[in-house]
Amino acid sequence: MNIEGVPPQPDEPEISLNRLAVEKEGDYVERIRLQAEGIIDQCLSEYGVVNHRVVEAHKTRKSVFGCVEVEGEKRFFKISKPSRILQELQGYKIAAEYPHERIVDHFFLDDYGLYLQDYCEEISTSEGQMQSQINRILQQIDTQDVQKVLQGTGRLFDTMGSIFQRHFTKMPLILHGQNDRFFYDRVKPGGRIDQLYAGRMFNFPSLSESITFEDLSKLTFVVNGEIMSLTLGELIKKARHDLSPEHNRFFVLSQGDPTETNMALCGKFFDFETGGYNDLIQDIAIFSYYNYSGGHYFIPKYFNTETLSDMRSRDRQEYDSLSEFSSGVTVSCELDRKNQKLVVNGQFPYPKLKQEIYTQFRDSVVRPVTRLLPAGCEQELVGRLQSAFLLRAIGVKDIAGMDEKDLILSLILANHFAQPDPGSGGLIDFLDQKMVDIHS
Amino acid sequence: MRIINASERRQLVSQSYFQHIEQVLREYFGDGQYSEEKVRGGQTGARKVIFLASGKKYFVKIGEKVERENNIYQSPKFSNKPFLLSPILIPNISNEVLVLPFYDGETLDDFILRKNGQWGEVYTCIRSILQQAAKHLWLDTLTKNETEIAGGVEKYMTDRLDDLSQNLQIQIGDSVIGFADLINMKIVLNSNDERISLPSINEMVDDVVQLFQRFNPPYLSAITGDFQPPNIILGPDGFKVVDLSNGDELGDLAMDIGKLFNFANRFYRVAYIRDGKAPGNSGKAVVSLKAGALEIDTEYSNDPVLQVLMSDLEEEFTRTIADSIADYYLPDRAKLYKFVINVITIKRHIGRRGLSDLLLANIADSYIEIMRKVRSI
Repeated sequence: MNIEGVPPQPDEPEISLNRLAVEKEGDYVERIRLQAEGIIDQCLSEYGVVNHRVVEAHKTRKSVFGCVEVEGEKRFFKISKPSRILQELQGYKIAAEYPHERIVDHFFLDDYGLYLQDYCEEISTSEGQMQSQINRILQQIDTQDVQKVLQGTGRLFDTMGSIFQRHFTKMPLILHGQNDRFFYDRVKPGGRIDQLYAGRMFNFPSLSESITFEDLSKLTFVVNGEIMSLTLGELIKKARHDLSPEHNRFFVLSQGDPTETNMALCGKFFDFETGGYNDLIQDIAIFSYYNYSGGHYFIPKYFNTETLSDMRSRDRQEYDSLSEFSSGVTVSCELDRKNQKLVVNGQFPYPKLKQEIYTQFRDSVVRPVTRLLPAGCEQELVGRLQSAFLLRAIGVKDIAGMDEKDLILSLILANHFAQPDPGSGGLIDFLDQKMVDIHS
Repeated sequence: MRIINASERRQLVSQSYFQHIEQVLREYFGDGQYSEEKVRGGQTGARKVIFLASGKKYFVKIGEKVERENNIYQSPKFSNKPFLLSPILIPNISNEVLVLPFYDGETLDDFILRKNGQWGEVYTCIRSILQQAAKHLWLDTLTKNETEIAGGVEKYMTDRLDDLSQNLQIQIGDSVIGFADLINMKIVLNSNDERISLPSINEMVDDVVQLFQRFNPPYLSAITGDFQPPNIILGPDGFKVVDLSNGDELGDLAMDIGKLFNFANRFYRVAYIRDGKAPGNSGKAVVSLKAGALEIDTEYSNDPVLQVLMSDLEEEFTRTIADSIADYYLPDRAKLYKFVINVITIKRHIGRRGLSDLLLANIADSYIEIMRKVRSI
């Protein structure tokens, strides 16, 4: 929201917290722990609480989090810039209907915000985390618990579905959604897509070619033998239009970033930074794309390395075994400069478990809410969903910084979801056609 | 002893003084007279009337708190604000008389009623009002705050509760209890299939004052003091905020914000009944005595879409302001003020038919909001 007279808040850079930006050497984890301890002490001592001890601390680029014992009771804690903590508390307050661990207190110092949350034993172990458990099954580390996972996901989607329906805006609204920052804010002129890619070289070592983003955007893609109707540049232009918050849109009350890392099999939701009223289409795109390619492929592969260095060996094993799935992913690429074509071929398997989870999501979340849509609007929504998928494919991770295989795969996926829907024009049909294996 | 209600207070402006002011206005404008048109709104004892002169309408307010309001209008902090009307300065007229150009429009509460279901328009309208108020008043008049405001807020509440405690007897079912006893009773609120045990009103007040001590504002600014839909008129020249009788040059902007959202969350039920605008389903609350506690049963629920939209707007707006002035507890204070407003408004509204039970329900409900969105989330 812009208030005239208030300097606009710059798009927050992926910053390190000043005092917490320590070298990743030596007793790194201990230094993070001690710094977190100091900040927590500053907050709690004002209220006479002196008996506390940080027992676990992790650092990402944006925050430090972990476990602190306060007067003998375990709490999850998160320290970040005050504005970021405020943003996260905001989401918890608006989307409070979603089951979540209670935030028991919050504090603001000049440079930091801190919140303390009830500690969830289940999420603290990899068995309780949805993504972790799914990946363990996919990597055949655990084979027994498929039904347990499906029960957990089923419960989560029942919750989502009923909250979606209860607060669904049958009359479309012109409104900025909380997770527009993942979509329109990234694709708008000057947004993250421009910042990441303008003037950038996309390297294809197998072709001994480097292509600027601008040139890449003009090429016609031929994906697995099919000529794409729009170039990447045209898709981005379409997405700028489709995802604009100035359109009438249908909103749902959502956690805002429904990925496998933000849900626990015990039925709880986490990370409400974009919780609130969000465009239905964008929530569908976030879940579906993450389910399709994120949780078991891109995210483990391009996970924040700082966090990886701090991972327990058991989690490392899970992420390292990604290579097995990765071996089923194949891509190739040819550049036809004369005809301005990029010919890409690839296959991307869609694991059966992920497919079953998608089916649950479709039936418990998407189908009931599409029944509430006014007649005749689904075709337009499919077009917007395609644009939302584009942003998931090229706007989450810097695809130019990926290895060539994943750069090509990202382009294949962007086109896979962008290709017009030959079905009935409905959202469910579209999703069913796209959430399948890709064969070369 | 009994409470003198607002309409009785209005009678305290004597008829002869009222007519004398009409004569002064006639001399100033060259002609004119009071209109028969009824002026709605306002809970003070001030007498309000339309004066017609040369085909133009003027809003005239005489009596309680008008001198204060005139002083607020004349303060540099409130001058040249696009959403405030400029008083007409009439020589030799008492400072207890306020004359404003009449702004013909629709109050924001009427607009919300009329747009029932078209919540996108309501949202956009309220957001725009908030943005303008922030730009032209709250952020334009920021002053670094070196004082603790909790004491003042406590006095604001306890003065009114003490007043009522001295005079007021309340009948609940077959029992009659003093107001002082009522505010010491534990409360149980039954609302939307939930049964919530709460402390007494006095204990809630203590708790809220403690939270104010923790969340002291780093800045104060000019506030209207009564920033709520019945005082916001939408007209051809944008919106205008009227009634600055509670205005403050050095107030907490969280109070204005809290007042607006308290209306949207719950107070609208009281206001609509009070002003005769209540749609049939605006709901009611019933207070009874059970096992030594006050039991409040509510029969209403907010529209789920409007409820989320208002929550979204409140959190987003307060966060944006909080970020811009590094007042990170602003969203918390806005919620505390909702409770404060529900406590202090008892004095003006209690005793009116159908309102007393709703007022207690509002106090309980706004305290629950503090429990769930401030104390723990």
